[in-house]
Amino acid sequence: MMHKHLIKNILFCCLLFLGCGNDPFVNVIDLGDRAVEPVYAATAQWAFQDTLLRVFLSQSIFISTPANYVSLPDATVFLRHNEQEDYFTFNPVTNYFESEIPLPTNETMELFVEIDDQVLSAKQTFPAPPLAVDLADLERIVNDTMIVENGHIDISISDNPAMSSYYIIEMEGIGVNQVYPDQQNIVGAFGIGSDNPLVDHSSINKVFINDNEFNGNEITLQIFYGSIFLINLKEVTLRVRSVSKEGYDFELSSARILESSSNPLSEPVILKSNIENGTGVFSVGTTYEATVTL
Amino acid sequence: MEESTEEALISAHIIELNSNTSSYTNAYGFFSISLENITDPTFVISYVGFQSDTIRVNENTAENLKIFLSISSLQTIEIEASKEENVEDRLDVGQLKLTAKEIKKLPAFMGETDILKAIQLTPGVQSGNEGLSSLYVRGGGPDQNLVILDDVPFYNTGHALGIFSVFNTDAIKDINLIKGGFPARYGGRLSSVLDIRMKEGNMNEFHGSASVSLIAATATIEGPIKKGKTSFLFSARRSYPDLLVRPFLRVSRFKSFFSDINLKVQHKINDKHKVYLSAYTGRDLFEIQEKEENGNITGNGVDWRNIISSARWNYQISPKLFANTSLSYAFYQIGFNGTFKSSTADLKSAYRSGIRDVRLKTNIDFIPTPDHYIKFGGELVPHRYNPGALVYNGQDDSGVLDTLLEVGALTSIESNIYLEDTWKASDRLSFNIGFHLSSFHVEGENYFSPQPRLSLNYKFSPRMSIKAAFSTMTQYINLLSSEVLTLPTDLWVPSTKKIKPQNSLQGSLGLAGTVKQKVQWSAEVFYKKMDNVLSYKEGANFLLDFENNWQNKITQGTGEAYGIELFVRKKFGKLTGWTGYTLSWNNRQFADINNGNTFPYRFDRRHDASIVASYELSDRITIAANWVYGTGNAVTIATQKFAISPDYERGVFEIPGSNIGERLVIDEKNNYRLSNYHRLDASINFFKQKKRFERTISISVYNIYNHINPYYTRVDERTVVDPTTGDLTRQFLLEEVGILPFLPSIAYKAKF
Repeated sequence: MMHKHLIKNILFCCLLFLGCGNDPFVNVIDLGDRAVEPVYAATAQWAFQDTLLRVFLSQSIFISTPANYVSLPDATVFLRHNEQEDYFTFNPVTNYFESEIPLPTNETMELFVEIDDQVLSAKQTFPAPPLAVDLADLERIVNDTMIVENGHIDISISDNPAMSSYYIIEMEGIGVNQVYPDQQNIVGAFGIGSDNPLVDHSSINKVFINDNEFNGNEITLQIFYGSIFLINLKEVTLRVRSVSKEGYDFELSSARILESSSNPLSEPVILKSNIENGTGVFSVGTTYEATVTL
Repeated sequence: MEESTEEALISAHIIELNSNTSSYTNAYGFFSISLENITDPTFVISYVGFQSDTIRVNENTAENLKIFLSISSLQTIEIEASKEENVEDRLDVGQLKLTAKEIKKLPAFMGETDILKAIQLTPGVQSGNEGLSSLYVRGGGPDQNLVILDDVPFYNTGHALGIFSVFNTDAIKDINLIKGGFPARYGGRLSSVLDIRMKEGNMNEFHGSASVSLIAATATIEGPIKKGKTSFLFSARRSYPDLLVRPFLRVSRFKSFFSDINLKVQHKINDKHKVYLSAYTGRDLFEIQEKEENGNITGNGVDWRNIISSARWNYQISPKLFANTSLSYAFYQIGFNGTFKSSTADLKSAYRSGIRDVRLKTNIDFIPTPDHYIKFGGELVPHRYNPGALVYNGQDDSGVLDTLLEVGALTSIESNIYLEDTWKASDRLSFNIGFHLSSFHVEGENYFSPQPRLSLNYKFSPRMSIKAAFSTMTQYINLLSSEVLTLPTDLWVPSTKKIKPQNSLQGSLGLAGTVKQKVQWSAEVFYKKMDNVLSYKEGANFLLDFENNWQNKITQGTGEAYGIELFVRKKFGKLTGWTGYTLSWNNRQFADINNGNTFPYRFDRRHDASIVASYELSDRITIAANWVYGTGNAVTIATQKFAISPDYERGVFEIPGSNIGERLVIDEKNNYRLSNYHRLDASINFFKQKKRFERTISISVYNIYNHINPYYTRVDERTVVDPTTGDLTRQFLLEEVGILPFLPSIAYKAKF
């Protein structure tokens, strides 16, 4: 706490010294909507053991514009693998392009999106990452170790030595909105973190771990969690996602961009994307959830 | 020497008329000219702003010649200008000399004239962020400048977070900026050398000055301790924003000031020996303490300080041999303090980081023949770095707290030897050929760097010459500095086993000439390649994290800068000044930044221009103005966002997404240009000779047309109602923030 207090002191002193607080010398320019060339984004995560692949398309908009994203049903989306092409159909209900394709076991698949004379493409190598932890084992761990009062949970991950693994951990819960107590069953994401040195990065509500430091071994993590608006928790859900490197890099850089955007002392972060001629990600992953009723 | 003060004049030009042999004085006024078969040599000695002198010398007086020049009156300066060595005659590639007198003519910022702000107005030098005194020379970073005061380097050259420089103009005599064609005697930084010489103190009479501006008060006094033998100079400055602002603040304690003190003593032992003692100490302090309604007291403070001192010994070994040996000490430290007091707790936290050096240095000048001026010497510097120490102590409900978190201190030894020869091969062609060899010992690792240097000047017409230079440089100590914001929290750290020394290779080629003996001009192209330049990794927070080693936050890569600099300067007459323009490119590449792709450096400034002029309306009034323009800095911001299904993150797709998630797009580092920078400053000085002193009133205006020059950007996140759907939606508002608008100031100075 004192460390954080000190950093706050430093920031306070520096900003006040610079006259950036309420100093009358501060002048603000609203840059408005400067012309920027929009980019197309494709996001797709192929869930393990799911034959339905969904691709979500979006055209970027200027940062200060309200989020009125246009739907892009006229795009053409297809997947090329083993010298064949599987075309996707647009589902107006979900706003996804969808296709039933058996999850490949051992090949590289290439996703293409044709839109407005532009061709976006991305490669993803399969197989999907194997199960990070056994679901039954995870539930046991959660039930045995979770201490709700102290706001932390212990979790063990048995890493697969045969491949590089990338994990993302999230938590959410159901409880009472302490601002509006009449809202009794609100779902909310927890802020989580871990001080385990093997953790790659703790973001606001995600913990990122890769197995560079513990490949093939089992590690036990203590995850701290909390919510600023949920009280009287009824359910707590722990979600462990094992994703491909592309998905991990995309999400980690996304999280860091958000953090650095609000922290003037942080070096800027570039979005890691594997989409050529656009942005976004084409990745594969498996997700395990364990819910505990309190 | 200057007649009235007996201060040495640096780079005064001496020419023997019969043989047309010439030379210059060094930093201590020493020169040597060997003449053969000249029975009655006649010398003309000239120096800018001084009356030239012509003297005849015989065998009895030749060895220890003292020549005194007096300051020229305004009317004669133009005539004397013809005797000053022209730019096409000089072997100084990528160099610029300024005097404190020239700088004092320029518009002052908040009443304070500033050496570094004046240097920023010259081509090839950029200012970085608005209002700051940091220098970015030919694509380099602020830590790549060797800023030395009387041979001792400064590690932090800024007061008030860099808004003012640490150099008190009243104590400064001469400034020489080298940005290319580095002579072999300099080393240790990649991009520039700023060699600043303090005044030595008047040997004959007491003189002094006192000035008061809106921000600071300065007092200087100099004079003989023993006439003709020992002199001193003492100068002190203190700012007082706290005294002005304090009555308007509702806080229990508030201190905010910077101060500095310069002291120099010189003593002539005899005609061959002279010793100097010089010292500088500067401090910045900002402290605020608030008492809350519940009685709790919270305090925050930041302070940083420089201390440098040196003892130098000049020894004229023979008429052809001159030695200067110095022992010096440099110290720089930053600190942050926090306090919290309540009925149950009394807690304090303190953070300290700094660097200290001891430096032993010897330079020898040897002039064997009129055509050769040889310099050689060496330097030994033990460095000690304290990247950070955090102390918590006090007492609260949980008991007594006494904790020290420290990032391990490091020591290193840097040494170098050099040899250079300024060789006048013919009347038209001259060279400076040199070799600098440096070494660095740290953590059991030894680094060596041989650095060849070459400059040449070929005068292919009476009024024009071609100049070329090649130099390699190595830098062993680095400033961990954020590109986002330059703060005194930046840390000096050494090269280590993991962090390799920075290297540069620079070539430059130019033309220079003089028009009608009044206007000097030059055009110079340059190319600089830098290896092992440092940067924080993506996402790193530049405040030292005590759980992690600072070396893990750093990455090394390459840099490249190239461009052309144009410079036109008029040094004499009622109208003086210069105009400069730089067209340049400045890029960086790191394996783990920007996906390994090349990106523009934050201060990649395509166009950078300045016009500086001062005019003597009369003996009592001068006016001055400067206008600067620069392409906006490159910054990294998310300018776009795109939609992503929240189901993506869940990795489960059974539930159609009802809410749209968003991701910010930052596709490239430094992908966005801030608005172009431009600003006009002006000043008017009124001089009046009173009975006992000369009074000067200076009125200056900074940023006359109140242009908002961006200092940084920020993104405001707001929740707004979507006009079409009525839904609440997040909106990011991008803003450029300027901090220095139209700022008038006034200063009063009395000089006796």
